[in-house]
Amino acid sequence: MSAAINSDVVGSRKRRDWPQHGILWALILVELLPFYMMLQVSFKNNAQFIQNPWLPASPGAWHWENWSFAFTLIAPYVANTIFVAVTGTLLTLFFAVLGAYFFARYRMPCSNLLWSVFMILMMLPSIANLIPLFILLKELHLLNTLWALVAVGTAGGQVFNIFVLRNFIEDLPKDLFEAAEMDGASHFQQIVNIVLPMCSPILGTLAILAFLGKWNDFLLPLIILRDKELFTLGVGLIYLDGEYVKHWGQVMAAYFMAALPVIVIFLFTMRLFVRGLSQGAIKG
Amino acid sequence: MPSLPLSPQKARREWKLYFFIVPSLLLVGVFSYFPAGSAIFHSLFDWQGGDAKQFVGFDNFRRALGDKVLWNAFGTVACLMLFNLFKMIPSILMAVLIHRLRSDRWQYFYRVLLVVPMIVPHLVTLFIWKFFLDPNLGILNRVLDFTGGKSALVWIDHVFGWGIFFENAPIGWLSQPELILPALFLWGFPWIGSVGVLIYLAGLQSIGSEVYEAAELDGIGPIGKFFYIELPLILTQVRLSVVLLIIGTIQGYGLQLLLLGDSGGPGGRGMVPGLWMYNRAFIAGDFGYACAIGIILFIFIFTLTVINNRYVRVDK
Amino acid sequence: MANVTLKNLTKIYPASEKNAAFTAVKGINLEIRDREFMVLVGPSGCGKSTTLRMIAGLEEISGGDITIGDQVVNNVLPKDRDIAMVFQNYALYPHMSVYNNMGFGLKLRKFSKAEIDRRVREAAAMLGLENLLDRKPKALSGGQRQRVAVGRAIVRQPKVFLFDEPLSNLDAKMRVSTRTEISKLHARLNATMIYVTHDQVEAMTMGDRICVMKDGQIMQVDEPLTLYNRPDNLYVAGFIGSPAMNLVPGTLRAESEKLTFTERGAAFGLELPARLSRAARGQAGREVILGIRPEDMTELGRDGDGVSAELELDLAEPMGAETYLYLQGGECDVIARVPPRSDYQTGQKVRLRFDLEKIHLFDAETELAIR
Repeated sequence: MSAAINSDVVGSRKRRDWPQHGILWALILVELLPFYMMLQVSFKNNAQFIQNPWLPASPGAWHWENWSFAFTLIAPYVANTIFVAVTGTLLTLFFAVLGAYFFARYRMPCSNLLWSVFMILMMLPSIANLIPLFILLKELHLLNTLWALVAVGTAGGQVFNIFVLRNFIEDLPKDLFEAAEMDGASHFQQIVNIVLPMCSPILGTLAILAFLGKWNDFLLPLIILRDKELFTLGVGLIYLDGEYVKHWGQVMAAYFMAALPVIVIFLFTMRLFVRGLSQGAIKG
Repeated sequence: MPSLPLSPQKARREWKLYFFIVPSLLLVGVFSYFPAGSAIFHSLFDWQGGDAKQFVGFDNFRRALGDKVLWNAFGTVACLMLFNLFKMIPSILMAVLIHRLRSDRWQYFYRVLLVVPMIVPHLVTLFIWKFFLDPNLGILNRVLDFTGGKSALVWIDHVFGWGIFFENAPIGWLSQPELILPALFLWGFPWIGSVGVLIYLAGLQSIGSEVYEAAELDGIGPIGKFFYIELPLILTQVRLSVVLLIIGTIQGYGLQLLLLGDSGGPGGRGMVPGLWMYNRAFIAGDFGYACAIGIILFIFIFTLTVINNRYVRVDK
Repeated sequence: MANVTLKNLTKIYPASEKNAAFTAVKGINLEIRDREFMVLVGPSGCGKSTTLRMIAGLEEISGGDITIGDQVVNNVLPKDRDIAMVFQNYALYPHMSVYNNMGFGLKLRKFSKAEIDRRVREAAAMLGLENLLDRKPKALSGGQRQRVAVGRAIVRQPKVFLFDEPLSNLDAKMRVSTRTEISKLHARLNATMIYVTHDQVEAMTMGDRICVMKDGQIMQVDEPLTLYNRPDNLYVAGFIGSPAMNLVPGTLRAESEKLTFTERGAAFGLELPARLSRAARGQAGREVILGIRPEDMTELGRDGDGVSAELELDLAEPMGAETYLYLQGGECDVIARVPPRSDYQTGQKVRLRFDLEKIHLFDAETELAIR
């Protein structure tokens, strides 16, 4: 509920919200400025931009070829990133569901010990890991491969996801699992027929979070990818930024394309996400 | 609900369940524990990344203690931390503003609008800001020129004798050593973190309107309401954000790497400890030393985390 | 043959940091006959559910054997025991339709689609679920969900059906109608059914035989009316029947050739009938408990003779078809069921005659019936 005072209260001054709206709009407009700029500059060439940096060029003078150029430039990066993000997310959640099921279903011997193995990692900062990780990947001949990114990303996602999923699976009614057991379902079948359908909301949220994390990752790709064809978006954009002569229109178009897949995903899941964030925060 | 421990026969019968945890264990062991151990191990060596290593004991650490660049880097990080703490304010204010709106529909509208900046990948936002800070084409300089801010800065420069802002030269936000910290402060203006706002908003939702009505009757104005009603209730989330912020700022270096390059920009003013670690390893090839820096950071952050868990979290 | 034999069946929960080891089932022996409807009844914690779950294979057996048919099933997985279970909370798969819920077990066992379809539809017809086959559980009422749970068991055509307090989550009216449906189902399917409940009314109305349990042990196994009329011990006597049998502590005294019972507070005394005199011969001075059911007491008018006890009325509860009288005297409280009348007054003296053919005697120490 909002903090608005009930206007039925006797004697309350009817406060107008205009000042608040004004401030909010001002803040939001400035906040959204970068994206507005990104959009309108992407249609200009450098000359146009220097002339008129603020306002969009007239539609007739729009340089659509900025976009086609950006597309050819960025498309391979986007494809690579989609591969890493999608595969990484799928594998992360697959293994995390299995792991969480192990902890949630029964309290097997050594369960506590194994759980601490994961929980300790939650407290350990991974700052120092980068360098040995690099060397490790080198030894495994995984440098300069996308699979290395998938593997490391999957490993990194285990702790958090297992932690969250364990709680959700423990909350599922036990007799449902028992009924499935009596129907003849193996543990894996129990996961497929009970855990996955009943945990789909949280799985969806976790998938989005994992996907976003991998999409935005640039540090590891930066140090292990050498071949231009393998660059993910993060590295690709850095590379783009390093060029001396920049055609800002193309660059902006490229930036927009880099954001596009994520925007599309969000449009589909937006309602779920906004509601989920607010509710989750209240409950937890 | 969590289960009781199993009887030994049941546990034996269900042995196959252990397979379910093996992949996660392996992944975590290979890609998280092994590198951590390796970092500790190699911090004691003079190691250039190849097979040749030489045990040097704590030499790397001693070197780190005397390393001026590292100390300056910590100083920079402290400064950035203050900046970031300050930058939390707009998010809180925005949450309060939205929360105080009359109409629930407008609230929902703003909430949705906030999602937009959240959608765009962080990287892209960063690069656009880098573009804004460009001396010749960037809009920051244009705005300053346009609004007379530039003239004001030049005038102040004369008064204080800084030697940074000149009439004819475009302001080099990322190329002048003295301007790097201000640039790191300015970036992201107006500093609204959508995730933060949404979380604070959710916290504020739990305040009933009766509290506000009582405050009205007591004659408490809008600012008072903030300090007496709203702030205390979102204090837990704020505290959590602060902790995460501190821990994140100390170890973060991606921002600096992208904006300023791997040497922390001109004069190395933007060097932060994490970046120095990266630099020593991948630019200078001094892997052993870099590991030592990493371990120092690790200890720092781990201690903070422990303190947080023990003392800060408890009174939640 | 689908008989189930429990031999020395034991269940011990091992000690943990918080609790000591706990023996839930203490070496019980029970024979459930082929096609029989056996009810396991008792209060919470008596071990009945644990026993059922051991038969199902959902709990490990700490000791003893379970035999289904001619096979010892101690180490056989639940799915291979040829049994089906109806859970208290139905345990329906929320994302599957009624049809798929019922067919799931068959699908896992690789039955042909045609066979699955045949069995599911047959069971649905039996239970009145034909129109609900496409619905998901959340669109069903409690009673309907219960029937789906039963249907899921039926399609498996198991040797033994297990029911774990299936009616507890239904409202009173639903409970009565579902009770009769399950009984009819048993008649129709003619299968062995083991049914767990804490409600003695369910037990009495549904069971071919009832097994009364307490603290992990079997108190008595018999047909319902036998349990009612010839309880072997104090516990069964007080458990079966509502309102419960009156249990009055007292002592046996010898008076010339006969034994008499005197209430502990000397509120009344009566001469034991021949059968009981014989059974309790030579036990004068013994502490015993007299058992008499509320309906075996008749109220006598002021002049009626053969009075067994005169007690003071605490409260009269008119039930419509009869009235319950709550009486007290000496150290005992007693309930009597009498024809309906509305002129009872608290404190008035009521004269009762006990049907001496129906009284029971239990040893106060061993709690066993004296016969």
